[in-house]
Amino acid sequence: MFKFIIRKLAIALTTLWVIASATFFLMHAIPGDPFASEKKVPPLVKAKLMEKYQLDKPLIVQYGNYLGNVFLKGDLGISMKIRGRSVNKMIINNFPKSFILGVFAMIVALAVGLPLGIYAALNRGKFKDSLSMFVAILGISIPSFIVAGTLQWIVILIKQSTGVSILPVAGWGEFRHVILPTLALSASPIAVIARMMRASMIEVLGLDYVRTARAKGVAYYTIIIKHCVRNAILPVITYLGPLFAAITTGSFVVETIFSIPGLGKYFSTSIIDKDYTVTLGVTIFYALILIIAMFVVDLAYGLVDPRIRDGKKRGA
Amino acid sequence: MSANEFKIIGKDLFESEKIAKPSMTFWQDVIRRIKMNKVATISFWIIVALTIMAIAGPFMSKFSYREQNLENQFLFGSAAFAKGHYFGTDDFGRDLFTRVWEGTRVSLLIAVVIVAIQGTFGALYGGIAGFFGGKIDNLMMRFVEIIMAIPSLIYIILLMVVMGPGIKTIIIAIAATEWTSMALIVRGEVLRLKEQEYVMAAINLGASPSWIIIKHLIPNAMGQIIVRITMDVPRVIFTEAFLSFLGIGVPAPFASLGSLVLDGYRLLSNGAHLFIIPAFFISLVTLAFNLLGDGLRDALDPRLRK
Repeated sequence: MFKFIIRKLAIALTTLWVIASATFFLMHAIPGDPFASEKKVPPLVKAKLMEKYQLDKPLIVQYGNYLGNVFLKGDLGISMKIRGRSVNKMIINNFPKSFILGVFAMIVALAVGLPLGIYAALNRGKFKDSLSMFVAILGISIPSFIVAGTLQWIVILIKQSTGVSILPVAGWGEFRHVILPTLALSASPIAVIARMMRASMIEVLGLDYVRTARAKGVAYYTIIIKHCVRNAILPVITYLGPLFAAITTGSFVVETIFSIPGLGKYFSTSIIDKDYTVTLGVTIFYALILIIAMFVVDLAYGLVDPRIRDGKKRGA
Repeated sequence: MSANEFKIIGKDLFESEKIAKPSMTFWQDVIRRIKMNKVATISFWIIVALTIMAIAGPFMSKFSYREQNLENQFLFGSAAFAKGHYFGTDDFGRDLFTRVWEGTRVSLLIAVVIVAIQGTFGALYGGIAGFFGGKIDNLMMRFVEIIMAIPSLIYIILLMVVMGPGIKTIIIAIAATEWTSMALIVRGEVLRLKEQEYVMAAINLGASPSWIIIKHLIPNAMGQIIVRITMDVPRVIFTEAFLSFLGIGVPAPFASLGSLVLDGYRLLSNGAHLFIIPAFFISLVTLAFNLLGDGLRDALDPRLRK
């Protein structure tokens, strides 16, 4: 077990290092510097700025310093656009907001997507199946900014016609603010989960042990829940890892439309502004969350499917 | 009934071996299955209709897509219709009908070109990696993983700064980030296909690797490639729309469906038609491609047949 953890850690650190290095050099390959787009800066001031952020040093020295700070001290540096703001603080302040939204969206996606997929699979080939899958494909086909914009538009229309404001159109702070962005964020995962669940349920429903269970008279719903769902849910669990990393680090579109001070908004603008430290910091943070999420998914496999757990023990 | 009412007619060996139905190739069978699938057929015709309108639509109106008329701002409804603005006008008094079809044209054009470029490159890359295997495969796949791990917006902006803004740059930038998933799919298929006898026969007959990849392996992986390409069209349209959202999409006065929706969103309080109409058409395009892709997958995959 100890060996297993050490190996996992080594792989994780290597992955992080490769991603950090590739992103670092690519970011610096983009012509221009963080201070280029601002109002005309006097050359002397600019030179001072470059010195302050160590951008005057050779690239390889910057790279070495940066990696040292990140991997030895856990310090992601200071933002070059938002003066005096450290990237660590930025992540600590803004990540929880994106995280809360993401977790809500995942709960909604699972609560709607799983039953929808199971329902479609049980009614395979019937009208109920086609209708469920049509709803699901709508979720994949409509971009999130259209879902978000339409939701806002409906809320505004209701307010204009009845004078009652049912939900705030944008903002952050209370539970009411979470509802619309959660709906906008969960539309596409609902669709993906429903389609995956349908496909794997259809496969599982045709297996011999399901027929055996039926033949020996196990109740219908017991078969569905205990025998089928538990086996069919594995592909969905695999998908939850990358989904968790992507959705909890924030969506630029949804956070901009609903004016939520999350992480996604800063990340996309930092790339355009060439705010090197923010881009790199958030990329590394995202990769870290992805690695952790994939590790949890690996553990969850064992919980859901004892065959995988036993197989691993025998192998190790 | 008595026994003499029956008579022995014998059996005609030749007749019993005869194949009554005309024999079909794989692709004829696929087309027949697609035709039986109503949803996929309707989607196909929607795509055809939208393509025709994207070509002919701008000529059906008397306005050009960039013609401004500040007296006719935010028209919608019967007043706009009487003036020849079927979908109303925007904040510069430009005709939305013309702009929607112009936008459909740009979006479809970008999507088709990108999908063609990334599909070809991805298929060749995956084909080479899968066929040679071993160290070459390992190296090529690590490269794909690194590309996939870095946020694609970084390359897109890098390419845009280097090449300057414009539709050509958008096409190259998106194609440069999208080919990886195609490479993975083709590699997977090739790994499976290269173990089959006809590949061994080709190798023994002295066919070169490039001949085997292009003439044998990729055509046999075509089913998966076509499904992927159909599903990639909506993805590319989304990516372009996302770039518009960041302000680095198709430059004005050109329009894509994505940029029209976003302009409409910003002007939502002035006239909902500017948001709703382009939003409807972008959703229709992506929905039609996704449904067609689904139908193709069902038709191509023997396991999904009933």
